[in-house]
Amino acid sequence: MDTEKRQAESVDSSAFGDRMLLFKAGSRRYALPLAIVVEVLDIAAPAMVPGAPAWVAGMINHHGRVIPVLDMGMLAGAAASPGAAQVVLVELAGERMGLAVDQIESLEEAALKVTGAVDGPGGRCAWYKGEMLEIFDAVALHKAIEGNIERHASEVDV
Amino acid sequence: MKLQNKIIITILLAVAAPFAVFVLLPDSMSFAAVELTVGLVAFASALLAGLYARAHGRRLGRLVEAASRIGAGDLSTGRSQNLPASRRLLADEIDELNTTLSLVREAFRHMLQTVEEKTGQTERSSSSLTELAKRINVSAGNISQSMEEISRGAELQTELVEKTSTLVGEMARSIQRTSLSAEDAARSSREASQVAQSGGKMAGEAVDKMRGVFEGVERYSRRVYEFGEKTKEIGNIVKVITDVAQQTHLLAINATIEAARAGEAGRGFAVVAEEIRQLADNSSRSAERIGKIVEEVTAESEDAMRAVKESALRLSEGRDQLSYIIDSLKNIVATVTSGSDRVQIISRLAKEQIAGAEQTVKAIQNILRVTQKNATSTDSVSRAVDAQSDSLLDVTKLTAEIVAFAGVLEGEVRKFKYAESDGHGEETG
Repeated sequence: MDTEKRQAESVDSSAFGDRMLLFKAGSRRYALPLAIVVEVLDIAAPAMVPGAPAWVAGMINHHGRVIPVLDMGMLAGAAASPGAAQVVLVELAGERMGLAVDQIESLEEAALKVTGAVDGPGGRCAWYKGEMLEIFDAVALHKAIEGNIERHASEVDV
Repeated sequence: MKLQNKIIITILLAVAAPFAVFVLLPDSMSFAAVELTVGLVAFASALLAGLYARAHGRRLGRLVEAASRIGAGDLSTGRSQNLPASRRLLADEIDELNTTLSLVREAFRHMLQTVEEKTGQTERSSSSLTELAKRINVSAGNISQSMEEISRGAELQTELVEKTSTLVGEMARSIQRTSLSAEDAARSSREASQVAQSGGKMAGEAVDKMRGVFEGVERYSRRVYEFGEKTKEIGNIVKVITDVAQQTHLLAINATIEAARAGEAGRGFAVVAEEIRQLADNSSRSAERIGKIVEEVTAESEDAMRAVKESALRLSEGRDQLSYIIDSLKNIVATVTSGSDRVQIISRLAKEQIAGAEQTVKAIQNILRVTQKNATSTDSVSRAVDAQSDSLLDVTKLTAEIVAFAGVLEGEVRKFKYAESDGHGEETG
């Protein structure tokens, strides 16, 4: 019965709706809109890239394509997640990249109620099942990546 | 030749000589010459006969003189009685008498000499005897004194022996008490030994039981360990299930994403994918619960293992302690047994000592009797010594008498004159 009801609802909404992928990286929890997610992968250790900044975890080979993997924790301005075991493959402006996370937690159908702003690249946060989540949409993620690249570039120039 | 014959021969010769001359004279001679010659011969022969007779008279006179000297006690002079061989044929009664007189004188002198000698000896012996008697008397006095001392000593000895006897008796009583105590001790140690032995047996049984318990605990410990191992296996399996569930979960998410991408066509698949994801979540949660339970069980089984190990350790300690107790009890038994043996030896020795003490008491009583007898004997000896002293006085008296007697005898002998003159020596020589 539930399935049918949900099925009816999802038919009404857009293809992805407000569905969110919830995962854990470092000490924090994050939520990504499922629209930008391509695939979730179970890769323990991406290949290290020499000379790459700390927030680049490495590279992976995904169906013959070499894809960079970024440390989600560092990208979000928080602690690194060295024990990352899974990779969330996202597509931003036609570019695919991996986000190294500790653990994929769940897929939420319902839209998250934004409860406030946080001082970080995500900018928004929500309370979900008694825990705070940082919401990263495509724009926020892009901004975060750009910010990191700029910072890195300035550090290299100096 | 007898004197009588000598006289006859002399007379005959004196008578015959003139006739012989007359006959023998040659016929040529004148008568006067013949008469003269015969007369001369007759005179000569008468003269010779007279001289011969006179010589015999002198011999007789000497004989008488000698006999009278002997009678007067003078035995000193006298001629040699050994006649030369030429004269032995012509010896007459005078010669024989002379010889006999010499023999008598010799016999007398010998007797007197002997008497004098013996008298001297008697005097000397008497004086020695007197001296000896004096000495004996002195010795007897000493003996008497010694006897008194011995008597006093014997009294003292008696006293001491009585004291010793009392002491030995007390000692014997004390030994008897010791013997009784030793017997008590032996009894007590025997009882202690029995108690210790039964204690040892009980401890041994306890050890056996404990060994059984220990083995049971070991078995139990092994089982708990095996259980823990199995639980770990379960944990491993649960981990595999969890992994599979997670992968399924990921696959379901990917399927959902793919379905979303497929748009309207993937909607049915999305539902299926969602179902799969939920199932995977459920499995994951169940596996997680199982994992938790397994963890708890593992923890509990580890606790149980620890408890079992501790119990085993305590049991082993207990066993060690029991072994120690058993050893100690054995030692106690050994010690008590040896102590008991020693006590028995002491008891036996004490009994022997009692016997010895009784014998000692007997011996002391014997000594006492002997001492008393000694005292009695000492009295007897004293009396005997006194009697001896008296006898010695008598002896001294008698000796004095003998000495007096010898003096008298010597005086009598001195009346004879026989030794001091040279003649005596010549006579004997």
